[in-house]
Amino acid sequence: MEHLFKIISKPDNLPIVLMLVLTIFYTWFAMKKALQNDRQGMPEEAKQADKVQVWPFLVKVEFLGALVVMVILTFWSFLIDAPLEEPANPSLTPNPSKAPWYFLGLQEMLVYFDPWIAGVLLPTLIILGLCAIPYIDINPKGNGYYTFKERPFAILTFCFGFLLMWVALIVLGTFFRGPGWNLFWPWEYWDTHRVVALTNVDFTEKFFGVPTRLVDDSLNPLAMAIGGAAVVLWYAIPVVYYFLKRNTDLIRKMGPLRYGITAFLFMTMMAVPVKVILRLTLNIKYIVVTPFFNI
Amino acid sequence: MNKTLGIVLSLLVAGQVLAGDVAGKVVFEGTAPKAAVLRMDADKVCKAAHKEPQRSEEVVVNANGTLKNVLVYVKDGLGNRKFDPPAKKVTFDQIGCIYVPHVVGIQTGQELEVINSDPTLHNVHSLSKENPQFNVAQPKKGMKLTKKFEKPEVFKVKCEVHTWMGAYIGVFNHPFYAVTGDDGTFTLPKLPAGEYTIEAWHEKYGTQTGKVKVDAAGKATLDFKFAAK
Amino acid sequence: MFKQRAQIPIEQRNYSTYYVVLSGLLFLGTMWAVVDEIATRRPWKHHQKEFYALADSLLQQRIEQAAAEIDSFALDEAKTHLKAAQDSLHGDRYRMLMKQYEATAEKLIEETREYQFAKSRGDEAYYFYKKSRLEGKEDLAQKRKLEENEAQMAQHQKVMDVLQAQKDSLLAILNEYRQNERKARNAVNDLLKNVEKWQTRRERLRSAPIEIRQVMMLDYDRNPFNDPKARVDRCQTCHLGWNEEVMENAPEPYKKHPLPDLLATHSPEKFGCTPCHRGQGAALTAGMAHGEDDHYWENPLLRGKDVWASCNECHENESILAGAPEFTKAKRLMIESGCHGCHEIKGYTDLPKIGPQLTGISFKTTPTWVYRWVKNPKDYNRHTRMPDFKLTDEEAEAATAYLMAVSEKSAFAFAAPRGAYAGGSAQRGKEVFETVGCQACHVVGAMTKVREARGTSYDIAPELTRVGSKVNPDWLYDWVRNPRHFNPTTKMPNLRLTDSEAKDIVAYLMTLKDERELPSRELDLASEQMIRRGEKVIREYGCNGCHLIPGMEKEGRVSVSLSNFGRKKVDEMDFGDTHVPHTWHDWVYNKLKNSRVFQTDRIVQKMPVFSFTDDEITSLRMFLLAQTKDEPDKRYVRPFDRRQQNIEAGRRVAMNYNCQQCHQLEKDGAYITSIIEETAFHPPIITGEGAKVQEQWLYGFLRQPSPVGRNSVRPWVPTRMPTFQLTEDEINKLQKYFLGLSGQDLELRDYTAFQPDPKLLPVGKQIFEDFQCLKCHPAGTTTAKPGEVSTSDLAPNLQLARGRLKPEWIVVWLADPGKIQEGTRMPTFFPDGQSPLPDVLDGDAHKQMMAIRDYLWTLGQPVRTTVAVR
Repeated sequence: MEHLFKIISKPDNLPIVLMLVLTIFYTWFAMKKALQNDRQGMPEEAKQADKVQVWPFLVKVEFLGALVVMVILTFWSFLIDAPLEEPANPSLTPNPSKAPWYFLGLQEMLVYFDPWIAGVLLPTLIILGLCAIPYIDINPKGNGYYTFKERPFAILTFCFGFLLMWVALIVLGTFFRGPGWNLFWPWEYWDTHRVVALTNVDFTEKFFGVPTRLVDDSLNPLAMAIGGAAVVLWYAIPVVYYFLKRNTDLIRKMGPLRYGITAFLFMTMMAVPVKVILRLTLNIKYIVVTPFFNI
Repeated sequence: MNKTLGIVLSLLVAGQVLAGDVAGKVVFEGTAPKAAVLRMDADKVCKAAHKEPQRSEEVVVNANGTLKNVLVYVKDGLGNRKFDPPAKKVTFDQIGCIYVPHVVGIQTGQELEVINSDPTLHNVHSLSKENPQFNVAQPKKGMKLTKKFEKPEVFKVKCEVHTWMGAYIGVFNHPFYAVTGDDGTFTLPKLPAGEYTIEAWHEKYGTQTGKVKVDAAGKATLDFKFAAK
Repeated sequence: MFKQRAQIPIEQRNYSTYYVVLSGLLFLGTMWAVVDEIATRRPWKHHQKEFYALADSLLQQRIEQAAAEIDSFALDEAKTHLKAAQDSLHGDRYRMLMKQYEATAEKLIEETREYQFAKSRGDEAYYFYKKSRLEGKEDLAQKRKLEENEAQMAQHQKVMDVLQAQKDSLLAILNEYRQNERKARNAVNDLLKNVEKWQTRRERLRSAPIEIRQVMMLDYDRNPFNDPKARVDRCQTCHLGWNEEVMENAPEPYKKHPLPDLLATHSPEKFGCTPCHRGQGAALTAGMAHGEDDHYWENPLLRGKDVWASCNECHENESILAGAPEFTKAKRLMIESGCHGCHEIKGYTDLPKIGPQLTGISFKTTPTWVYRWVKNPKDYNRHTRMPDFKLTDEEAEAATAYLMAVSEKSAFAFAAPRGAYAGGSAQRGKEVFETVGCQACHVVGAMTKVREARGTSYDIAPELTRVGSKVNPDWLYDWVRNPRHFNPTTKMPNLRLTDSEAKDIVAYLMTLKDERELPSRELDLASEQMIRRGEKVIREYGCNGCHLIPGMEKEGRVSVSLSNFGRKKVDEMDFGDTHVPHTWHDWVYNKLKNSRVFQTDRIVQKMPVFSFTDDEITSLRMFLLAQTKDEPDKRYVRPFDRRQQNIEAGRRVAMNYNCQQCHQLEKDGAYITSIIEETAFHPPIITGEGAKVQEQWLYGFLRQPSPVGRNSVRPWVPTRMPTFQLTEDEINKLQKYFLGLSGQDLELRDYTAFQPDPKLLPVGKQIFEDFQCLKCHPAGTTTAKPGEVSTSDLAPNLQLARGRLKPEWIVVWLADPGKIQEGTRMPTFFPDGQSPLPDVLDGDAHKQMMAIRDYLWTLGQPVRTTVAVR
């Protein structure tokens, strides 16, 4: 445990700890308020027609906030020196090589996916998805106040996508990934010479006994077909759901395009933990292997 | 200057009140080895300087059974006392291709005057280890050379031209030393009261040490014995 | 409170308390920053204050001491003199004289003006008179006027002369007064010189500001991306006393640097401290500046012996560094231990293999001996350089089989018929062995003085204590007569033994038997399988790193390059199953102590086990620490120019042939002197050989040293300069090496062209006779009968000088022989540069030396060498 403590207490990891604390606090705070509002109904402030001007009433408070941050930063810099390390050396990469802390979740993805999926496709989808939210979110409720009951899907998706997939993976990447990007438990010492058994196999081989590659090292079309089918089945779930629930209010309001985009983004997001769990529990390497990309 | 003067003065005063002489003799036991005759054929001047053949001075046993040319000195017990070198020069002569005296003591900082009294070339080569070595030629009769030594040690002096020539110089940082003469006795005068280790050195027989206590009353005696080898 | 506050409408909320509190905090922060800046984060300020206080008190002591050392009587006297002299400057007489002087001077000025006026008037009259003459009428009035004025001038001149003389004499008297005062003042100053020196120093330190002392070296470093980078060095901010004489015994960090000579060429004012000591130059607190508290600083302070490692950054090409004996020692250790055989080491890739070639081993010794040797060399000879490969019995047997098999194919044949060695006397052989110089390299039994003088844990040549049980006498006879016959690359020189001497030595050495009872083992040497296995063993263990082995001439180095080993990370080091602390230093120490220490059941290690002493291990570790790719910018490095290259090339030849076993060279060596009591029998110091002897002579001598006996340079020395059978290239390198050490370059010089000064010749002859040079030096064939003390046993034949010595060197030699050749029998005739002959050549010592030299040049025949200098 003292190893974990040592890592946590490193000056360069302080922002992550702070972020963790703030994230938990604000989530708790928002949920508390939301519950309160759900029980008591919409709060007065949200209903008020009478609004105040930004200048000077908001700016005054914001300036106070700026002062607080400045005070904190000043005292922080007195107490802790800049955590500089050795000069960068192109012929000598550090082990483990870690991205800036806010990208460690993405770096963690590299363990489970091809670089271009983890590093290009997924981040692009995240950004595009975030851009799309105002267009696909047609629920007008919850503006200016906290509520859970009125937008459970949105909040749960956020909790899953941000808290679990983003924050938790950053924590994992920072505190539990040691030399060689190996996973270390909090009580383990980060040993440079740690050896990890490499026993991953592909999905088709594991479950259907169909190897990905033939004896001459060319791809097995049967394995490709099975893997492809699994992926298609995965994305078929929302289609089935659409037909089952096509008469509900919500789906009708959304329309097929909005529903399609939302469902694609949602299923892609959900696919990530599925792959992670498959890898961690069943040592599945890839679901489908194609000449162009592997999933 | 003022400080050292003070020390010397106080020592002088103390010496007069609390000082004693250490005296004794150096006895030789056994049969004296026969001294080798020096062959001076290589230089006519040397040969002509002597009517009778000269013998080596390595071991000279006196008629009374004492040993000549033994250097006796205080080895230990003076502490950190400092002694100013006497102004008087020590003379070290080369007469008839023989060093006179054969063993000589000198104090650090005191001047040694090396004289060539022969009408031939001599060179004085010191084989010192602590002090810088010197090797100076004296091609003419009456030439003089003055040297000072900074560090205490006993070393040999030789002449390369005349291979038989050799002598020993003992350098001390105090004035309490003596060389035994024809009667084999020595006196270390006016030693301040105290306990001392006295050492006797001989070029062939090495060193012997003895302890002596000098009290206010004065005299103390100490004898040394060297045995034939 | 917040609840209440929430009741107030936003427009009416008051934030002034928050603002006041936050502003207060910000103000506090600013104050904190100021305090940090001035005191808490600036420990160097405290150090500087402490230093100045300490220096002040020490200087005070020095001032008092210097004052106490002044002869107070003399000072009082000098002061009285000065007082008197000063008083006399203010005395009545001086003042009166001064007045007289001034009055005279004034009068002189007046008189001079009168004279000038008269002259001017006369000139005018002259002009008019001349003009009237030209116009044809002679103006006599003007002529009279001219004459009048000329008469006046003469009169004035007379007065002026008198006045001038008066003035001069007065001035002389006045000057005497002034000079007296000046002299008296100088006398006082002279006595107070030391006191004043320390006082000035103290004043300077007292006025020194408290500030950061910084040395900046532009473009000194390169960052990992190869861009130039400046180095900032602030060590002297705390280490203020590095150049302060009084700080000799002061505590750190104020202590004076212990090696001022080294600093003379590596000035901290130019280079700072970190180029040698490493550390984090820009930091200003001890732990960070030494780099030991900064985990990420890659160049922590080098402590203890390790400090010499940094020499390599600039001097990697030089194997001897005059100012760094530890560094020189480490390099020699590395070269002699043959590290370069298996590892690539920058700058040392073309060194010769250190072991003998193994082409004809069956002629030399028996398979049983070879087997025991490769199995455990230290068992036969504890001081061998051959390390222990920890071979299994079977591996050793296989290696023996291979070596024997290739030896069978060798074309070697003994020069003399078998059995020709017989008939020697062991008794005489021992005498020859102990006189001609074998012991310079070879130890026998208890004769270990040379080994001890050398101070290494290994010998440079095999110990011969058990050689009688090792070698074949036919081989030994062949070997001692001409070692290169058996092994053309051997370092063993030819000692020019006569046949009977060689027989005696063989007889003696064959008596040196291995008396131990050794277990024997049946060896299978003939089977093809065994030989093939042996080849594999030898190849795997890299025996060819040190030995030339037939069939493996082109094999490369078997182990890793050490070129950047000093920067190897602990993470990259394998500590095996040991509990050795995980540091670079501990890993290297343990590896060198026992190279198999980190071996595990899976990781096989092949590096053999050496038997270095702890001191040697730390030296080698320092050398390894020096193996980095760090290289300062060229402008900070002494250029490794042509002369340096020549010196280094020759140095390596000299090192290869172990010249230093006998000769002192570059302040080291002459180990053989530990067994030669008489200093006159010591082999000469050859550091200055380049300045001493003529190039042609040295060439001839290195090819074929002068024979023993009456015609050699030093016939009285029994030890022989052996014939090394050097190649032309090696001789050439040695020539340039010796010349380079003396600051000279190899050039053709015709020494026969040197002409003695005919005017000096008779004087030279006279001095030569006065000094009785012939008392020791022969000049011609000697006539001494055997057994008699002969002059030729004392000093070199002066007839040789002309063909051997450089004319300018003779003069330097005569001035002080002991300075060039310590312990020489040659005395100086000019102690302290004074000639004992004050009547000759006005007592000019230098001229007298030239006269002797010129006279020497007339002795003997001019030598025309037939050997060309390349």
